[in-house]
Amino acid sequence: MKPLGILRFRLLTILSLFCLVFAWPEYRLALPGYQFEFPRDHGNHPDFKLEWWYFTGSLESPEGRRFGYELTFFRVGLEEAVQSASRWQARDLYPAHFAVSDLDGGEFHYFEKLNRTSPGIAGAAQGRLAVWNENWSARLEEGTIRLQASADGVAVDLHLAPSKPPVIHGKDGVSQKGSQPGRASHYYSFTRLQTSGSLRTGGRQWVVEGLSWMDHEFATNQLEEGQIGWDWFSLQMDNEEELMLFQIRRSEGGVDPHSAGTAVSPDAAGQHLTSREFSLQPLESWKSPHTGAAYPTRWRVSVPSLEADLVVWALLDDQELRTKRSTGVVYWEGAVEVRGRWRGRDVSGKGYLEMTGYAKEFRPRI
Amino acid sequence: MKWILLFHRYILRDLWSKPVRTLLTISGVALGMSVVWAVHLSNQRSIGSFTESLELINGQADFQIRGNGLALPEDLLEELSWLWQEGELSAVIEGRIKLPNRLSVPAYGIDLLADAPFRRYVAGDGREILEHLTEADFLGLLSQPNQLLLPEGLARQLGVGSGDRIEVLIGDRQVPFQVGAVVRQTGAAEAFGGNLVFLDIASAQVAFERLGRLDRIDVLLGEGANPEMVRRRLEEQLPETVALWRPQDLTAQSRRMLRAFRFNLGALSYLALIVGVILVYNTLNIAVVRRQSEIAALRTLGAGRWSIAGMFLVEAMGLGLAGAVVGLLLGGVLAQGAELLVGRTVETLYTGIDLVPLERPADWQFAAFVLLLGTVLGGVSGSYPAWRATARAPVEVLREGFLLIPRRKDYRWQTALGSALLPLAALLSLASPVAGLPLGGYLAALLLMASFALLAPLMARLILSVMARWQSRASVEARLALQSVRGGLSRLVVAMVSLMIAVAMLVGVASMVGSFRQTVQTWLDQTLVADLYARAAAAGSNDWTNPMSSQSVQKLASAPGVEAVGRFRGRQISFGGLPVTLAGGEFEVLARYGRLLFYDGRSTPEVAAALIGSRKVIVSEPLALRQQVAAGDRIWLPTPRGSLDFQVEAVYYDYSSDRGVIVMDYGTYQRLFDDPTASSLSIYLRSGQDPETVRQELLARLEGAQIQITANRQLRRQALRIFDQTFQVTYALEVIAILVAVLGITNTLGALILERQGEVALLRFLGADRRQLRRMALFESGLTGLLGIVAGIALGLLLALLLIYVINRQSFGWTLQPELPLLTLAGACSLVFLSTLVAGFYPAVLAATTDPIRSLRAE
Repeated sequence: MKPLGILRFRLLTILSLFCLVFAWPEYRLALPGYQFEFPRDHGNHPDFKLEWWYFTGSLESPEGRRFGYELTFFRVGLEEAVQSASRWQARDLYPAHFAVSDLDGGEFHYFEKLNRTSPGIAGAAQGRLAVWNENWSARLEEGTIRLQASADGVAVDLHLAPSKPPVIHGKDGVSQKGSQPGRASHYYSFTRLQTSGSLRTGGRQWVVEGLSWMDHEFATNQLEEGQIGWDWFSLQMDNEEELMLFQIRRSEGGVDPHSAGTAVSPDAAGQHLTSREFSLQPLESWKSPHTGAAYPTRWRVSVPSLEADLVVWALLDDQELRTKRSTGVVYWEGAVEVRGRWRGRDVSGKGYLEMTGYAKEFRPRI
Repeated sequence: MKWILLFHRYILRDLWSKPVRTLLTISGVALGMSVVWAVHLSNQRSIGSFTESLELINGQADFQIRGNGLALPEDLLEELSWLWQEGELSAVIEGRIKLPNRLSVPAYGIDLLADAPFRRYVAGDGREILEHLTEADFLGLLSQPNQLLLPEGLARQLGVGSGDRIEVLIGDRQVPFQVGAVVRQTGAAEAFGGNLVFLDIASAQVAFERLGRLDRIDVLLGEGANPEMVRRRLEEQLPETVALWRPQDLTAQSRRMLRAFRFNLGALSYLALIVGVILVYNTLNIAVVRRQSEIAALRTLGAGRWSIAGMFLVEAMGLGLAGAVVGLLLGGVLAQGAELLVGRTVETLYTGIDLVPLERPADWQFAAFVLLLGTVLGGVSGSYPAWRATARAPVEVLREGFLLIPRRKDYRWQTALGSALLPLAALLSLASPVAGLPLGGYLAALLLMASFALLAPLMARLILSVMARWQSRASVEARLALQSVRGGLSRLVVAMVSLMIAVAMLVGVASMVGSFRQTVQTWLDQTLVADLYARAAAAGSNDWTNPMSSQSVQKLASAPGVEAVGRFRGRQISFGGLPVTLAGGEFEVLARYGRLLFYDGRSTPEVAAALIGSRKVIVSEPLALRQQVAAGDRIWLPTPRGSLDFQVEAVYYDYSSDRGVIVMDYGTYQRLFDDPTASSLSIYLRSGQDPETVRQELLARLEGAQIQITANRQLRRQALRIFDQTFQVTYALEVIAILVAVLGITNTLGALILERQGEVALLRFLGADRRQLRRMALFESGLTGLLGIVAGIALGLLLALLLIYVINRQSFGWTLQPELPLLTLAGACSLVFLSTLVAGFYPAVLAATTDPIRSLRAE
C-alpha cells in the first residue's frame, strides 16, 4: 500500500479532476472476494487504474560493505476512452524510481523516469512478471526475478529467488484503506527474496548478497479525504519472520483506523494485523536540509500479539527522494536496521522504511 | 603634427571645397559596400535561420538515427534497448502541415515525456512546459488526440488560443485539431521563426498515416558513454539504409546544398564593390593630375616625397572608410528587402520552408571586416595615384606644367598586360569546380575585367580615331567634345572603365538570366504537356511529405473526360551527401502522352521502354553534373528491401530545381516501396475536353479531398513567375552596380569641367554661348558613356559565356541554351546611356555657369 503515499498527492488530485471533466473510465474497484492467481497476478492489471511493482532490499558485499536499494515501477492509467491505432497513444504513464544507498559510504543516489506505454520504452506484460522502463526492468523467469537498472554510473543487476511464496495482505483479497467499498487495493508481497548479483556505485562494482522484498499492488480509487501520509515498514527478521506494517496519518492528527499490517511466519503463513494490534512510535527525527521536512528516523515498533517489541532505525539519514520529474512527490525511503525482542528472544533484522507526507507539498507535475 | 596640419590644409580643405565630388565618391563606395553588407546580412539571416533552425530542432541530441528517405519501424526501439544504457532516446515523427492561413509549416510529433532532455518547450508565462502546465493540461496534451502545441507568434497570427479548434491540411485531408498549449518562442519553438507546430507522437502517427513507423530517433549520450563505441555498435546493428546523423552532418548537408547559391550571391555582391573601388581610384587620380603643380610647389618648399604620397594614400583610405561607414548604414536598410528576396528564393529552390529571418545581434566581426575592406580597398586604389603624385621631379613638373596625357609607353605595358590576361582567363574557365564551386570561372571573370580595364585606353583610342574621321560632318560642339575626350582620355578612361564593368555585369547577367529563362520556357513547352496537374493541397514547395491518397488518385483517374493520369511519387533521400529526390514516375503514361528531354537525344518512349519493369532509373541533369553520374553507371539507392543497385539509363533535362532527381518507373517504385500514394499527377484529357470544365468536374468528384488541380497554362505561368522571383536579387544587384557607375561618370566629368575652367572660359571669349557649352559637356558625357557601353557590351558577352557555360553549370548543373535577350539589352543600354547624359547634366551646368573673367584671371 505504500506507494499510494507517493502517488496520492498528484494522481488522486489529477484523477479526480479527470473525474469531473470526463466520464470516469470504467476501471475496476478493488472489492472483497478477489481470487489471486499466480503467475497471472504478477502481470499487468490494465483494468485497474494504479499499479506498482516495488522492490527494496538490503545487500552486503563479501568485504562487509552494506547497501540498500529501491527499484519501483508504477503504472497509472489515463483516460481509456481515447481510441487510437498508435501504440504510442498514452493510455498509461509509467513512472519509475531507482535508489541505491551506500550505507557505509554514507551516500544516497536516486533516479527517476517517466514514460508512457510505448514500443520498447516502457510497459508491463500481462499474465507474468515482466515490467520495464527504458533500461530498468524486472522479469520473473524460471523461478527467479532478474532486476536490472542503471543510471549515471549507479547500477544493480540482481537475481531474486523467493524462499517463501507470495503473501496476500488484508482480508478476503483486499487491503482496505478507507471506509467505503472500493477504497482498497489488491496487495501481495514476496517477503523474503534471496538476492545475489552485482551493484555499482562510486565508480566501483560490488558483488553483493542479501534479502529483497517485493510488493505488487493494484487498485483504482483507494484513498479518502483527510489522509495525509503514511509510514510503512517492511522488516525481515533473522528468525525467518517478516513484518509489514503501515499507518495512515490523518490531517486532523492521529492514525487512521484502516492502518494495518501482516506478519509472515517462517512457514509463510500470513497473519493480518489491524491498527489496534500494533503501535508505531517515533523516537528521533532527522530534518532534511533539502526540503526542511522532519522525518522520524528511529521508531519503536510493538506488536503485542507477537510479543514483539522492536526498535527500528535508519542506516543513513538522508534517503530522501525528491521526484521532480516523474511523480513530483517528496518522500523518504531507506534501508533500516531492527533489533529487539520477539516471543522472548533477542532478534535483529533488516528492512525498509517509507515515510510520505512530511514535506510540504510541492507543485505536482502530472 | 606638421603633417597633420598639411593634411588638413591640403587634403581636407580640398575635399571640403568640392563637396559634390567628395559625396559622389563616397556614395559610390558606399553603394558597393552596402551591397556586400546587405547580401551578407540576408545570407546570414535567411540561410542562417535555416541551418540554425535545424540545430534548434535537433536540440541536445548527439546523433539522430534516420532512415534514408524511409521511415524506421518502431519495433527498432525494442532492438535498441541496449542503447538506454548509454543515454536517452526520443522518437520523432516529422511532417508538414498547411495551416488555415495557407502557411505550410513543419510539424514534429514528439514524445513529450521523453523529449524533455532534448529540447525545451517553454509555456506562455516562461516556465518550462512540463513544470508549468497543470496536470490536466499536460495529461490532456498527452492523452487527447490531435492536440497542437503552437508557438506564440503563430497562435497570434492564426488568432487562436489554448483550447481553440483549428482545421489543418495534411496530404489531401482536412484534419481537425485543437490548440493544446501555446508555447513561448524560445528553444525548439524558435526554429523557423516560430513557424512550426508540435504534437504528440501518437497523434502524429495517426495524422500522418505513419502507424508503426518513426522518422527518427534522437540519441543523447550519458556522461560515461563512449560515442565511438556506440556509433560502431549501431552501425553494425542497423541496416545500411539507416544512417546515423550527427547534428553537424545535418547542418553540413544543408550548408552544402545552399553553398553554391550563397557563393554566387556573395560573388555578385563583390562585383558591385569593384565598380565602387574604381571610383576612388578615379577621384584620386583626378586630384593628383589636377594638382601636379601644387604638389611640385610643396615639394620645392621642403615637403618630403613620402609625406605627400602618404597624404593622398590617407585620403584614399579615408574615402574608402567613409564609404564603408555609409555602406553599413545603407546596407542595413537594403538588407530588409534583400532578406525577403533571398529567403523566398531559398524557400522555393531548396527548403520549401518559409524562412523567417532570425533576429540576431549585428555581426560586428563582419562589420569590422567591411570597414577594413573599405579602408584597404581605398588605399589600394589610391596607391597608384599617390605614387604618381610624386613620381616626377618637381622641377620638371613646374617647367612643363600640366601633363594631361601620360606618355605612350605607359599604355604600352598596360596593353601588353591586358592582352596577356586574356588567354589566362580562357585557361581558367576550363578548370573544374573546386568543392562544387566555380572558382575558376569567377577568377576568369575577374581577369577578363582586369584585362578589359587595361585595354580600355587602346579600345577608346581606336573608337575615337574612327569617330574623328567623320567629325567634319559633326557640329562644332560635338567636335570640341570629341577633341576634349581624346585629350582627357587618361582621366576619362577610368570613368569609362567603371561604366564598362557595370554594363558588362548587366549584359553578362542579363544574358545569362535571359538564356536561362528562354531555356526554361522551351523546356516547359516541350515537357509540360499534360492538360491538368494535381497535387495535395497541403503540399508546400519541395515538400514530399504530403502525398495524395490512392483513393483520390483513383477518383481522378476514373473520371469521365480523363484519358490517362501519370503518377509521380517523390521522397527526399540523401545521395552523395546531398538531399536529392528519389521518385517513381509512370513511364507508360509518359511514353504515350508526355515527354522528357534526354541528354542523348533519345525519345521518351524508347527510354520508357527500357525503364518499365526493370531496375533502371533516369537522373536529372543537375544530379548528373554535380555528382558525376552518367548514363550506364550503377548507383545504390535506399529501398525498404535494403540498399539496391540501379542502372542509370539516361540523363534528362530538368530545370525545376537544382536538387537532383532520380526517377524509376512507378511500377518498380510501388513494388519496392509498397506505397500507392502520389505526390503529383499529370492528367491527360480526352480530345475535345475543355480543361477548365473537367477541372471543375474533378474537384466536385473529390468530395472533400483537398487537392489542388492546376491547368497547364496556369502552371506554366506559375513556373515562370517563380523563376523571375528567384532572380530578383540578381536584378537588384545589377541596378546598384549601374547606379555606382553612373555616379562615376558624373564625378569624372564634373571634375574635368572644373579642371578645364580656363579652357571653357576661353571658349566663351571666343564666342561660345552657354547653350553651346552645355551641349559640349553633354556630348562629352555621352561620348564617354558610349565608350563605356560599347566596351561593356563586349566584356559582358564574354562574361555571359562564362556565366552560362562555366559558373552556372558548375554551381547548379544546368545546361542553358545561349540566347541574347536583345530587346532587354538594348533597353538597358539605352537607359544606361540616358543616365550618363543625365550624369553629364551637372558638369554641363557647371560649364555653362563658368565665369569666364574669373577663370581666366586665375589662369
